[in-house]
Amino acid sequence: MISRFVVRRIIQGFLVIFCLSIISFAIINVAPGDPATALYGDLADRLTTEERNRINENYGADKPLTERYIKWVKGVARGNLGVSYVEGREVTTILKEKIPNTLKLVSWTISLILVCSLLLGLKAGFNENSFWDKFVSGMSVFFYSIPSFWLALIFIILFSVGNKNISGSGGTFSNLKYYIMPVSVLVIAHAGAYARFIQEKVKEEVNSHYVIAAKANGMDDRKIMKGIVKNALVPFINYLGITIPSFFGGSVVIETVFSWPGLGMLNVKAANSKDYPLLMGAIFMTGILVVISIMITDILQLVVNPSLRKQV
Amino acid sequence: MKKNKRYLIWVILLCIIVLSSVFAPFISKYNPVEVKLGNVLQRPGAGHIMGTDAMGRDVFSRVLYGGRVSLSVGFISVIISTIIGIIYGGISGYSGGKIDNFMMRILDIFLAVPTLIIMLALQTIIRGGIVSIILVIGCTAWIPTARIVRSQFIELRDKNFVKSAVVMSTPLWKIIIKHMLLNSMPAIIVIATLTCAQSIFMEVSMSFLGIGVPPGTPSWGNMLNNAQNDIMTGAWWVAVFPGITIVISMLCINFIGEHLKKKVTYV
Repeated sequence: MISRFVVRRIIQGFLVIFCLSIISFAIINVAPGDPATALYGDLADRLTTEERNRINENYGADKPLTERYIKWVKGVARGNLGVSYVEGREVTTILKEKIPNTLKLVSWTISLILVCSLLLGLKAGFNENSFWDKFVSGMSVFFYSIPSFWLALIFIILFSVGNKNISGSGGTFSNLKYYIMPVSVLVIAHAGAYARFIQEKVKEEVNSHYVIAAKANGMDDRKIMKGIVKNALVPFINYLGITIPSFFGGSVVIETVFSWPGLGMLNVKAANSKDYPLLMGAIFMTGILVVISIMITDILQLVVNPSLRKQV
Repeated sequence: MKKNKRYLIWVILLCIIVLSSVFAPFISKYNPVEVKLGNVLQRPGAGHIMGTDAMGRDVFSRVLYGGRVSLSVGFISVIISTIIGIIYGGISGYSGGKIDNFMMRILDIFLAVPTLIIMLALQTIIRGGIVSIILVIGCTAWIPTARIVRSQFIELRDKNFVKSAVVMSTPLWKIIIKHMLLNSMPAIIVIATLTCAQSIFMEVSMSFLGIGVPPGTPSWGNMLNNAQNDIMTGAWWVAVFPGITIVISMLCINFIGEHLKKKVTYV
């Protein structure tokens, strides 16, 4: 049953998030540095031991690791991720401000990548040895080799320096023009690999026995194409699910370049300022977002692929 | 035949890049870390082929010396990640059954986490130092290798020559190393090549974010990090030249990987 499959996936997702929280909590808490250092930076050395202890006690950083983890988990269950060392605000409030921005960026990017890669990949796959076929094969490796943040710098040089119309970064994000640069950089950097994947799958299907048999029986070309596309989509959705984590990872760099106030930039800022509750919360949220998007692709796969439906 | 030649071009290009960073002192007469404030942001010209950066350092020699750091981080961390991947994937693939299932579940968990973010967390602990960044990249990039090794081992375990070796009571280490590992070597080399490109990419991204190689050391990522401010004043060369070098070396490694992949059809 599909519902049972979904429930199992959700349980698995929880397990992933649980493990992620343990790993990142352990990593972060082994790290040197305490709230006092985070708050005062280099000036922390001037604090007396008493002051230092008082600050650390305030943030509960003097307790043993397991106790802190249990406290953290209890807090999470109540929707409380702790207080940021540096900003002094609740981590949840900070996250609430940043998450929508990242979601907007990622969803725009993914939908545009889907459109571009499907168009290019199908065109290339169905016309073997044509110009498009060679174009996609060659260009995908080429674009795959370009670091997206360097492309972003080049875009800033070309369009942003001296030209204020297409801003690289800005304060308000209501305007669509702020999306143009980051989204197009991400799409250019990633669309090639996806197009390549679709192209290879379609080529495999075109040369497979069932297509030849269908053609020999005089089946309508359009119907054959429809079948091929459907069959090629199954591994493609799977591939999308596998690569989604790298999207959230990749957006870290892009957000930093364009000073996009999202989750990725928050991660970097928290790591650089040793603001551990914030870093922990940001990693945790990123993990949840990734798990949710993997789940969506899993369910999509189930919708597209009837043979998978029989298995579950 | 024509395809073969095209792949040679990439090998030669990569050799040029590697050799020129190894022999950097003989190629560039400028010191990559020497600050000359009278010589700030010079355009590319006769004196400085790629211009100078905001601290008057020669971009060309920084690209060469940066290659030493970036490439060696990539190459050494790929060795680490390949070894970890072979051990993990080998155990998982050879033992099969419940152990295999359990180990693959753990991999799924690792796969669900954006690597860059785990690196961010890890790098806060062992901050600084090229050694630590090599370790961090090596310890996070092994998952694809482990998967490939596992699938190879599972495939080979059912082959008749392995079965007959077991029947003839060949020592276990001999079966694993001589029969399984040597036969999966082509696939491992392919994935190692692609991971190598990925590792260089990681180093560059992390240094770009300011959490990688220490700021003083020239590396391709660090140069781009510094370039972020300079390009606003119109100094395009500080960003363009290191970037082109990165792209070319990534292209070389990726195309060589693609070529090897085509040769090893069963990957």
